Amino acid sequence: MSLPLDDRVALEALCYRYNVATDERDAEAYVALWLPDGRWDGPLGCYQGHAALRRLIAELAASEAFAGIRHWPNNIVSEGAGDQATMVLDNLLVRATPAGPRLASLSRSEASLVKLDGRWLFSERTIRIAEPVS
Amino acid sequence: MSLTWEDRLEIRELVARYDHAIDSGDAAGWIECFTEDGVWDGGPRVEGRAALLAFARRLPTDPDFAAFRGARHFVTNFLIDGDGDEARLRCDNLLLRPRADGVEALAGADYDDRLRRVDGRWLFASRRTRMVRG
Repeated sequence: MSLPLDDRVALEALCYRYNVATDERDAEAYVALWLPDGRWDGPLGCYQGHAALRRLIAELAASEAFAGIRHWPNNIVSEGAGDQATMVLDNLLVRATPAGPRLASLSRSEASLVKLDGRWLFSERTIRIAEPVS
Repeated sequence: MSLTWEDRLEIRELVARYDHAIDSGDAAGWIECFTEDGVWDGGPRVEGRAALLAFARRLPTDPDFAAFRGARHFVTNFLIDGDGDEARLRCDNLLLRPRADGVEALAGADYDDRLRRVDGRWLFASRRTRMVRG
């Protein structure tokens, strides 16, 4: 299924807004990208609904492991029809340290999205960290 | 007729699908990125979907590619030219591998690709890749 160009560009921009809101620990900007019952499922656990998603950003802000992190997205693919879409992308997390930037982790995100009143919003996003190969 | 923005986006998404497939060990998904007579030329030259499928299935245990096991492709610098149903793409890849203590940058690679639109879908007619040497 192929979405119109405007929708695909909007979905890519949504991905960038998500990363910036996360990296800047801007909880209000972050939850504005989600449906009220949106669900995030990732390495920190499962968070559903705006109150829980605000808590996720607060926990990230308090976490030493995520200090100075920036998301570098890549390989974005969006598909869908009408007001429903899916998106798959990779992220490289780069962490600022006193010794310089450090490549911290790689992950793949799979998201479901809904277009509501002309705006695309996340309904679900699942993040899986790439594990080292033994 | 010159390429449209939709064409350019679809070609970028084809690269993303290729990266998702090869990084996940999805041999069947990987060969779907090529035309029936598609060629991958990255040291060995592999031609046609049957040979590509055998190559992709062998890749995880192929000693010649052991150095890249578990790698993820991150891509940038999309230079896309074309006309009608033929296109050429040049892009750069950074091969990254997750480790227990972060992410290792393994290598950089150039891609020189020929693409063909088949039944409305852009596919690789050939991908030629070479490691960037210092």
